[in-house]
Amino acid sequence: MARKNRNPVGKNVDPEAQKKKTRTLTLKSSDGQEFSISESAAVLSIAIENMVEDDCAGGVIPLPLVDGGTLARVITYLNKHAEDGASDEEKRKFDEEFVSGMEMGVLFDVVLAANYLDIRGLLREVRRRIADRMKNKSVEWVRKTFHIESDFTPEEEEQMKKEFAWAWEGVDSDVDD
Amino acid sequence: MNLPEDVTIEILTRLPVRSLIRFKCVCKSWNLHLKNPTFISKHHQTISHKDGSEVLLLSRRDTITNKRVVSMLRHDGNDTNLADQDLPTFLNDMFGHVRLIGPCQGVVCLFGFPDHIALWNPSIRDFKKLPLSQLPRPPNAKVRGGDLGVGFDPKTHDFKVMQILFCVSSDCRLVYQVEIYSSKTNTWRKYDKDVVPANIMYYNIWSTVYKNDNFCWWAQDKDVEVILSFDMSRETFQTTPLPSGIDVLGGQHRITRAILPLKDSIALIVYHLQEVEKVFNIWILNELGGNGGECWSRAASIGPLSGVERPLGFWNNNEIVLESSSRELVLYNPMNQEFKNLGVYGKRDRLSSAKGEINPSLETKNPGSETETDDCSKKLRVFVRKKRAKKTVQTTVEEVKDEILDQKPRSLPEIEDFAYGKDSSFPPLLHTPANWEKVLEGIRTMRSSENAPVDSMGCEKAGSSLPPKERRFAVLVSSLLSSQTKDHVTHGAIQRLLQNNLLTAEAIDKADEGTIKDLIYPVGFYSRKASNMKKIAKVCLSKYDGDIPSTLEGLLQLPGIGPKMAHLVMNVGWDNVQGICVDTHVHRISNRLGWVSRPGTKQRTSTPEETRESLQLWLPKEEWVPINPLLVGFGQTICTPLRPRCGICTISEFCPSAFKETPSPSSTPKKSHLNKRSLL
Repeated sequence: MARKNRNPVGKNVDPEAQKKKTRTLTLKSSDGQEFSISESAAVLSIAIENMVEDDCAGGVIPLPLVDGGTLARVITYLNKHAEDGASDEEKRKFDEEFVSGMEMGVLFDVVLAANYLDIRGLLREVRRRIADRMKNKSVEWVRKTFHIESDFTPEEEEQMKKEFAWAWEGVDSDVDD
Repeated sequence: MNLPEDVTIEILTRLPVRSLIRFKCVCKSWNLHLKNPTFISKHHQTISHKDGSEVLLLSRRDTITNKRVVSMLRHDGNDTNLADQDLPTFLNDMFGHVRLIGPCQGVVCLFGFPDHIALWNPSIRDFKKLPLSQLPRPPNAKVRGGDLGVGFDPKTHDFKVMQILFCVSSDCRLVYQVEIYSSKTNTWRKYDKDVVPANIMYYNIWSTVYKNDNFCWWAQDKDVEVILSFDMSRETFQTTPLPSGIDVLGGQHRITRAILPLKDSIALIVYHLQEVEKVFNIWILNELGGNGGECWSRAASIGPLSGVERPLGFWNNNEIVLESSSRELVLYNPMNQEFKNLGVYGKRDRLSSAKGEINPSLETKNPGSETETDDCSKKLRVFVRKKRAKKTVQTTVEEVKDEILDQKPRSLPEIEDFAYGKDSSFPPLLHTPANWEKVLEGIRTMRSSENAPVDSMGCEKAGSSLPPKERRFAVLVSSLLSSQTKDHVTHGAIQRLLQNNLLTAEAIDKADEGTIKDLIYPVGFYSRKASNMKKIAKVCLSKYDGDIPSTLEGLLQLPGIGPKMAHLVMNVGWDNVQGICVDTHVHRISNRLGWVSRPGTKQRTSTPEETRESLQLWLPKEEWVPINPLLVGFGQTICTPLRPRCGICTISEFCPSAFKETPSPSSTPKKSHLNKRSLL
């Protein structure tokens, strides 16, 4: 992963970058909570960056599709990744821990927020985590988790199951871990 | 809360194939998505960039059952794990000798020459047998060999198999015919946009790579070694010269090469087959089509390593998979210089080691595939190599040497020519006897007790504990002594020579002819053999630095060495399959089994040389070496010259001569048995 901060600390610091670090933005969640965040962290979200560039970020940026709890998590992520001197290895470890404790519902909230805010790294991380969680799960578990109703007849389902019986071997229990 | 479709799809592309197969049943829209070619390509791409997705396919014979087994080596956490794959029986029956070609988009092509081609997607355990090509072949010509390439056209999502056939016409010319199969249409079509610009190497079997939509072979364009590549999308050929300044092919140390996929490029490995300590010099091809000097860059060498025979592929980015001298598969890590045994053996020379990477991916059902076995898919990626030799073809229409065409070499071709040039060994369609594999398997089982003299005393065992040069000399002397002599007598003579330190060219040259004569007595013609040994030792010393000649021609110039022995010495001494070694046992049994006939007739062959030519027409090359000790042992114990023991033979049901030669209890054996009796 390429370093976001191309300028080593203390050398030829770009005045624009320096300004971003000190300038703060306010993000407002769907349930009305407000969060302060440095501009340099906020613009890791391409959506927010666009808003800032287009100058529509006057004062408070409303994010009507993200609730407070999720936004708080996203901001934790952004702050870490904008942190000066955090090595790639450190960030990787942070990402790992960041998603590991999340329940499926939270992962969904975060993936939606990351998708909406266009935060590539976070999106990738959460998608991977969701895929990892679901790979050994049953079809029923997937339907329940993704809120999908089956539109196959039981016969059709049975047929597919029969044809690829080996793919049904070694499926975990439906209890979420 | 529902996820937007694009997010869901992104998540699904990260799942292993097994999960996707299961989740096709979640709902109809998922089912459609998972079958969509765009999704499949994307999934393949995602999965293949994941660490640890590399898989290595091995095609080999099981040590105990002797059945063809295809095993898959994959990462399992930090460990490497090997699992045998289910090969449907129709494939096992259909392919005596499966070559694995590819992989391409997760699909391997299984090839049993000729015309047995199937696509296999190991990750979803699906197969498709390709239809036979109905295209007219060049008139008045016989298909003598074929090379296969596989590829995926990303633009049309079409999986292609190409077949480069070489045909010999009745006026002794070689012509190529290139045919391309498309999975979209499920048919073959003739390709005539371009001529095949280079001759695929005889040993190409070690050296095919599919990279960046190009299928590549190691080939030769006139005298220049090249990578021949075929762009599967644009359907054009291209050649890329090998780097200049690499060691010349062949020679005394049997310099050879392998072309293997390495990450996103193609690696060329140059090494000396005959060195005990091998150094593998590696070049990386940066770009196809560039010119020699510029498109290759030199990478770090690996080695010297001892106890290894040949490189089979790269694994885990920096490790290399090798076949060890004991025919086991080993992994070598150049970083910590550690070897790891993978616990996979092949029988004698039969470890048809596969290598490469498979990236499991999803299937695409084929349009129009209806029957159960036809129901297949494609998407997986493998790479394999097998220890079976291949031929090289002439570029366009070109005169061929008579001796190759009519299968009657008057003067045997020189080795380099034979090995790396033209090969007459590819089995033509019609001559392969029915059930030959079952027969071989039956004999192997009968022979598994290993109680025939050949097992302990055959000349291929001579000096097996000696260093290579001395071992080769021992093999040569042992073959010389073996004519008209029983194995145990030869063995005794060799033991006595060994005890007296008389088994090197130097020692024999210095020794007194009378001493040698005494030591080798009672082998047949012991005095002529003793004198020949002296002459051979002199030639070896003056011309070959005490080693034995490394070419058939060189061997044939030695006094007392005929074609049979020369082949045996090439096989055993140089570990180089130049031809089947036919002795009286192989000759007799092949005829009894109806495996051989005189050209154009159904009559049995009259000389071992004729038998050799006839067998070589169809017997796959990987059997060429093992068939000699196998049939010799069988001939010494069961299928004996006189009164063959058909009653205890387990393959008598396949043998047209069974019980026909068993004389009535009172009759006396006839001496003329071998050559005169008709077997039919």
